[in-house]
This record gives sequence, structure tokens and C-alpha cells, in this order.
Amino acid sequence: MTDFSRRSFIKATAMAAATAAAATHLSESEAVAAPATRPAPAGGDGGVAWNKAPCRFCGTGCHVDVAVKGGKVVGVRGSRNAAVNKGLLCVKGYHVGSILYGRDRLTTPLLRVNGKLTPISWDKAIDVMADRVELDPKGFAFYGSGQWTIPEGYAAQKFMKGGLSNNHIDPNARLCMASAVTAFLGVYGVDEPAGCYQDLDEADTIILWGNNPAEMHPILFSRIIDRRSRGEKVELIDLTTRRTRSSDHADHVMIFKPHGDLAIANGIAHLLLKEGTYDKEFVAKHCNFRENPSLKKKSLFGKPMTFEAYKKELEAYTPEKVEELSGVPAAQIRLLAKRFADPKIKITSLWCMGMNQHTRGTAINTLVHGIHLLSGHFGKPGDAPTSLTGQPSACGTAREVGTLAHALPGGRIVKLKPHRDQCEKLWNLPSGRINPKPGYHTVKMWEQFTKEKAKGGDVHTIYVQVTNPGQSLPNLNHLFNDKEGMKDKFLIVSEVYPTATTRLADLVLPAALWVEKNGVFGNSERRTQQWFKMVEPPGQARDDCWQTIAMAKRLYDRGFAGMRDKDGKFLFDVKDDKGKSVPVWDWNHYYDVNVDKWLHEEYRGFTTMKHKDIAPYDEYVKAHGLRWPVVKQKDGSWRETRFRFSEFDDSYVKKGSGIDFYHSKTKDGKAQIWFQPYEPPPEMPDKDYPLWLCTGRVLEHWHTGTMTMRVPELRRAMPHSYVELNPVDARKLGVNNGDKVKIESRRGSVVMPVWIDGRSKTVAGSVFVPFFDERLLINNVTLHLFCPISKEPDYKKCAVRLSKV
Amino acid sequence: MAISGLVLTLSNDDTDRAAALAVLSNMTCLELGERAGNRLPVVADTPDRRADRDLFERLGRITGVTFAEVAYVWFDTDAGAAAA
Repeated sequence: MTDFSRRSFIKATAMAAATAAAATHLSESEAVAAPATRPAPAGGDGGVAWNKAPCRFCGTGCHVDVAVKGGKVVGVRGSRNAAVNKGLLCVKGYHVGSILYGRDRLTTPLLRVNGKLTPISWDKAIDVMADRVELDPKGFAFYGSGQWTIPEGYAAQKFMKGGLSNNHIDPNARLCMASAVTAFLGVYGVDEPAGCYQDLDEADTIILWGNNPAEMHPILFSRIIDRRSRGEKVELIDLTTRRTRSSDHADHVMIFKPHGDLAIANGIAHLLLKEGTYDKEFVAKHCNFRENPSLKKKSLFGKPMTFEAYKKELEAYTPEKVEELSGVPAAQIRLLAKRFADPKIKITSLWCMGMNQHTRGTAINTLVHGIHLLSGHFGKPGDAPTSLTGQPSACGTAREVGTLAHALPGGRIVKLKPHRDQCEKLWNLPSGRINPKPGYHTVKMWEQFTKEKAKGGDVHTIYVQVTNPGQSLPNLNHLFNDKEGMKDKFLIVSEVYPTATTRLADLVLPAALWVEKNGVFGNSERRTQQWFKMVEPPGQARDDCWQTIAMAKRLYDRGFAGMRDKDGKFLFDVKDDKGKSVPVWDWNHYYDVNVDKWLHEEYRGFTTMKHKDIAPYDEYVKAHGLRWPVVKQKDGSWRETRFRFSEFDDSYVKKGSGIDFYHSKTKDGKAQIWFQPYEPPPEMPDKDYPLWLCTGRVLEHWHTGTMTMRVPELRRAMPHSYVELNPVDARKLGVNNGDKVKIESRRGSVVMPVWIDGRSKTVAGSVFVPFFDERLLINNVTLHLFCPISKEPDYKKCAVRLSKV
Repeated sequence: MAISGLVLTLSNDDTDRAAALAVLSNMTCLELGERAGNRLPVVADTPDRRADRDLFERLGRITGVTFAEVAYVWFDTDAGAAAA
């Protein structure tokens, strides 16, 4: 094929893909569980093989078709049959294939010897890891990720809780969505959103609570744009602390002061009650009321309160008072309440880090659920309180597999004996193997690691997989940087590129990335998505799941009792279709069998315990994901669930009930509406540190930039971090664009260039800094105080001062 | 060679939409497809990914283009050339 005809062929294919995507409306009501037909071989473009995978970046869960030729990824296109994205991708998805090919990929295990990272064999690396476990199994911790695949997280979970009897395992998802989890538990008794992305197609009003989906979840945002472009009226209300690209599309932009969201939610509830416009029937049938025992004593489930007491507590939140607390004019509070009071419209609330990374994260999450319940804007397509996730498997791996320090798979928790019993039975462990004491959550884990043993620092080793805590933890000087030079601490890091974390690592393990391995992710709308390995990882890079199993096998061979089940068999005794054990701990045999499938089928046993049922692995091979609970039908097919708790769609709802919160904490089928008072942030600007600091992401870079900073086009488009300043503050400081300023807090400092009225528009008295740049670590400055319930730190507000350098 | 298939959402405002179409049809690196409502499929043909990416950014900034999305990307000639 000549270059010209090949080019013409590719252009024709590109036009066909774009035309099909343009003609396909993103609305998914007609596209439930579309089959994942593999794209037809692109005959004529040189033997390219195409296969499906979810995108590696955010929690939206777009599916891409990946083109492989000569052992390399050479192209991507949005999967047309995928209900999530219908053939479209955002600019990060556009570059997802390139993340594999940065020139500094880690390709060999490295051990720090005399201060220098030195190549070693995998055999030696596994020995070192096993040595660290045996040193003191109780002091070994595992720090994972919402980017872990479900099988990777499940294997790590089993290794720690089932093998070491040690619950010191926590994912970086603690830093991004733990507050959403605790609120779902506190309100509904079970985690994860009731609705799905279809809500965005059906809502009349969409409220963004501190959320910027135009940049962070562009494909979801494009559903709104798509509807508007077809002449539909979709009202967008942006509640925010700074103007963003999402604000540009909003009908109403309401700028609030940090923590003002608590007051706003209470103000809406106040007006619904005062004006009698709440949904009395819905509340009577489906809701109870709840509060914390006291301001100082907050708890996950709190205590009951009467409707009258709830109403009385809200009396203080008049629109005028809310204006004073939040900065949002009383008229706009009335507008919000008017929307919720209108039963004829459908309202979807969207949120992500703005509400989760919050010292009152659980509280604001419960309040937003509460106003949806109070107003009856719940349970119908388009009427939904919906939290989004930032990572591709924060829901699947952190929340569903339960890789949090207190949890077990399938919504079980370590502190309850019946739950431990169920888990021990499924893992065939001797009774009592699972430790009943919750392990260290993320902040505590790193505090214990960076504290000398003599001073009580009882974590001696942390094994990090698929995340970059040396950049993403808050208050790095307190939680990470102190590790440097500590002789009795050991950091193991499995990574794809050198990072701020590998800088202090004692053992670096080269990892396979995305389509270099099999995988399963779970996205923001409960959709479990599978893919197959398509290309080989570079050099000696290997799967994280293999690393865990190889370490477990080394311990087993050394006689470590925890690596045996109650029959003496290895915890990861993976068998082939004929029931024969396969030595998957030997890399040469790891892909002799599909380890993901074996782990998936074992994990599946947990998922029915709290109605998070997943289907057999092979069902996911055929689909672009399925939303749990996936329930087997009489004809043998598997049916996913779009709207939980709603009788019209959820098989587990009691017939005739309409709505049934079947995991209600009060065991009466009712959800809990919480009263949570406004409280000021724990650190506020003062004369020494007069400005608010908010941190976040930018369109071009994903999280700590480990992958996107290796894509030259993205790096060039956004080459370094910056501090975004309001012109008023810039004038006061006497700085112009590009001038360098020192940002200081009580915890640390960083110097970076100024961008006045940059991509977003900060309000006077506040600054914004993205956290993607490992050379300009803003987390030296941020606060590590966290929500008392979720233990999720607040990256969105602390006090800083700026000075010209 | 970098070839991408993009979907541009055009403004509901007739004037802005017409202006955007005029600009787009004068861009030689673009092939415009058949509009579906306000959504316009286009194919971009540029020398390399860098130019492709720049073009994508430019398209999103044109008055009358409210959103730009990607449907297809082909970059095999420089796969593996990404640098840290």
C-alpha cells in the first residue's frame, strides 16, 4: 500500500468514526448494555489489531478501541458501542496511547545501595520484599490506589488481611473520595451512587457543587453540551469558589466562601421546610432524620432526631444568614430552593473533590443527599445526587474490593465478626485469621512511617503500588519528606516512571501499565469494565498483581504460616480450566492462565453480600462494562442496574414499595436525612497568612503528571505549574504574569510563577495552584487536617501568604 | 503523519455558527464532514502529533465552536517517540 493510499484510508476511517460519533446522541436511554462488538479488522491499514479497553485516566470510564501494530499501540478511537462515551474521547483520552512510551520508563528492579539505586534481579527484589515482611509483619503496610485494577487490589487485600492478619492497607482513594463513601453509608447504609450517567441526559437542572466537569470529566460535560446543541433546555448552576471553564457554560454562577457550601445546603433545606415545599409524602415514606451526638463528637451513623428537632435546627439558616456565611446572595439561595421545591423538574447534583476534600467532607456530602431526599428529587432518571470519582477504579478497587484500612471485599468491615467469618470462609482461612482492628488510614499510615520507631513509628515498610504519594500526600514535610535518611524505614515503590516517590524509595519495581496487562476497572456509575493485555511491557516491567503473588509465594516457600489457607494450600493457588495448579508466581507462567479471571471469580463470591453483584468474568469480555448489581435472569442472561433503590429498575427492591433503601441503617427501608451545622474551616486567612489556597487539576495533566508529563504535546501545552492570582491581589503584591512568588503556609513553601486571571478566575483573597508538577510541590504547603469521619484531608482550603521573589 | 477524527459542537446562535463554519472551511488541514444538527465531524491531517494537538486547541477557541471532542487518533509514525 502506498503512503498516499494508506493516508487516504486512515483519513476515511477517521471521518467515518467522527461522523458516526457526531450523529450519535450521547443519551444512553436506548443504549443499555450495548454489546462490545470488537471493531472490524481495519483491513488495508497493515494488519492492525483493535481491541477495547477503558481509558487509563479519570473515573468517567470512557472506552477506547486501541490499535496495535508491531507490538506497539499506534492509535486509539472512542468505542462507538460504549454507552459511556459513544465514540468520543476528551483530550487526555486522545493521548492515552502515548503514556506507554516515555523514554524514561523504569525497566529493571532497583535497590538502593550506599545511597544509590542499583539494578538487581527480580528474584533478589522479591527476596528483599519477603525479608521486610518477615522483619515484623505487623509493621508492613501496603499503600495502593484507585488506579489499581480490581484484581490487583483484591490480591493485595487478600495478601494483607488474609495473609498477614494486618489491616494496614489503604488506597490513595482515601485522598479523593472517602467522604463520599462515608456519606453514602450514613445516608443509605451502602456505598456508591444510586443513579448513573443517564441522569445527565434527563435532568432539567444540573447543579455543580464545587465541581468543574468541563475540564475534569469532559465527556460527561459533553452530554450537557450535546443536549443544548439539540435545542434542549438544560439549566446549569455552578456553585464554586472560583470561575472555571464550567462556569462559562453556566446559567447561574454562585461564588461561595470556603465551607460556605454547608450553609448553602442548610439554607435550601430551611426554605423547603419554612415554605412547606418539601415532598411530604416522600419524606414520610422513605426518610428518617439524624444528627451527630454533639459538635465535638461526630460519628458515621450518629443518632436519630425528630422531624421537629431537625426543623428547629434549620431555623437559623435564613437566606440572609446563609449569605453572611457563604457570600452567596440571599436571592440566589432562594433560587436554589425554588428549584428543589419544584416537583415538575428533575435535578441532578454533581460533585467530586470540592465536596470530598473537605474537613467537613462527610457532612456536606450528607447534606446534599439530604436536600434531594427532602425535596423528593431522587430515584427517577434525572433526579439524583451523584458523586463522581477522579480515578478509573476508585469505585471498583477502593470501594467495592474494600482496600480501605477498615474494610473487606463486598461491603464487609473488619471490626464485625460475622463479616470476618464470611471472609475467612470464602478465603478458606482458619477462624480468627483476620485482624478485627482497623488498620491505619492514609494520613496515619504515613505519619507512623515517617516517625522514628523509638518515638512510636510502628510502620517500618510501606509497599506502594500505582500511586505517587511523594507528590500527592498533603503536607509533604510532615507525611513524606521526613523519610529521607531514616535508617529503620524502607520504602518499596512499584512504578512506571521515576517520580517524587521513587526519589526516596529503597526498592523500585518496574511496573506494567494499562494495556501492557490484563485489567478490570470500576467507574463512577458502578460500571465494571474489563480489558485484555495488548502489548508487552518494556524490559523487565511486570504486573503489580504478579508482584504481590510472587512476594506471597516467597513467604509461603519460607514457611510463613499466613500464606497458607486452612488446608495448607497457597493463598493464590491459581488453577487452569482443568483444575491444575499453575505456577503463576513464576513470571514465565503468569500468562499461562488468566489470573484476573481467577481472582474475579473468587471475588465475585463477596459481591452478593451487599447487593453489589457482579457477573462472571466472561460477561465483561463481551460488554463495554456492566453496572452492578448485575442480576441473572430466568433466561440465563445478566441484567445490569441503572437506578438502585427504584422499583422500576432494581431487582432487589421490594415489590410495591416504589423506593426501597434496602440497606437502611434503621432497617426500615428508609434513608437518613442529616442535620449538619455550618462550621468554619479549621485554618482561615489571618494577618500572617492572608490568602486562601485551593489546589486541583488542569485539563492537560492528570493527577501528579506521572503519565501526562511524558506526553510531549501535553507537557508543552502546560509545561509547569503556576499560581493563579486575582488582579487585585497581583496589584497588591506588585507582580505581573510570569513573576515568581513564594507561597508559604505554616507547613512549608514553594516558589512558582504567577498567572493573573489565568484559565480560571480566582476571587480576590484566594489563589489556585494545580498539583501536577513534581518540580513545584504545592503539597509542601497544604494542610493534612481531615474529615473526622472519612479521614480525607482538605486540599481545597488553607491559609497562605505570597511574597515576590 | 497525525490524523484525527474530531467532533466539533457548534453554537446554537446562527451568526456564530456561520462564522465558525467560514473559519473552519478555510483551514486547509481540515476536511469537514456532514453536520448532524450542531455537531460537525472533521478530519485533521497534520505533519505530527504536536501540530495535531495545537490544532485541536485552536479549534476549541474559535468563536462559534462550543466544544471539541475526539473520535479517532492515528499516530503510528511517531509512536515511541514520546520523550520525558
